[in-house]
Amino acid sequence: MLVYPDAPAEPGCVLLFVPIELVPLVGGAFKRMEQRRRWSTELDYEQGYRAFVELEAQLMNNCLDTLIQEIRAIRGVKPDYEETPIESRTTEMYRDFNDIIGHLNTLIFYLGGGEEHADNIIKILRGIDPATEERNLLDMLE
Amino acid sequence: MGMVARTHLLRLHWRDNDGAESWSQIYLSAATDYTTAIAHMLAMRDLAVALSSAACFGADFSIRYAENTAPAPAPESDNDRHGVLIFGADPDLLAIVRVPSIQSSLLLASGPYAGIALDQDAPALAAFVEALASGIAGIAACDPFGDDLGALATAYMQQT
Repeated sequence: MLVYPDAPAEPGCVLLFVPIELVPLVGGAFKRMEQRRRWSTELDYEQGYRAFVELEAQLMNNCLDTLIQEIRAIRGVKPDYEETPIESRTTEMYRDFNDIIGHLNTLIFYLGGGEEHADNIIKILRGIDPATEERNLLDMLE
Repeated sequence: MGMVARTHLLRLHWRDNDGAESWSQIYLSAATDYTTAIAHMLAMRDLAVALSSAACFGADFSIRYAENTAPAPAPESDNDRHGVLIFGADPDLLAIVRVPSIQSSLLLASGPYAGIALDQDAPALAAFVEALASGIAGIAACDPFGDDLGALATAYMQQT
């Protein structure tokens, strides 16, 4: 019988690419883990049941497409391609991340009142000049 | 054709030193009320424990019904093909309900999950989901741990 494992101090996960035609079989393979008799205790059973049903749900998230759409939504579509249907757009039809940094610079300039704020914030975002308790993003916008 | 009451079934679950499981079955008249039946089950459990060196780790009480005539399954039926309905908004509190031999006509015909996802707008499926989540005959279903099912999160076909 199975004991639900303890999570490590630094939780992690594994990204697995499941061909869509295998979704019914992979999901079906998890079915046995929903059974009480597989698990040692009631607590193991509840943790195991919850974890494996979540995996079964994730099979329907179409996660990679969702992730790409989220990234593209952050970048924003270029004006010339606004009428292009989403499913027909390619990556070149979206703004570059450097454009976003340009907009961020402008926004921060207006919020903070000076170029020095934008430079420092971008350094923090890039990890060049890490934020500290005394110097963080919110403080810079005050 | 109709559902008729059968005898109640009490089942005591046993596990031995190797992890192998077995059970004892005791039947009670269908006229026995469930409070009496559960009291009987707990008392019999105590008596049975004295007879076995295995550990009695659980007990079930089933109120049983069965069709009074044997209905014929459709030729295309296949219990290895399940419809799975996953409920809940919180990823840590999801629960699953399975429908064996889900009708092929309920599968979506287009989209990235064509032939896999179930059509949640199909009237028969929508009615079943509504009854589970919101209740029917005065009560809604819960998950194995007593939590409300919540709304339907996803529905698709699995094969085992």
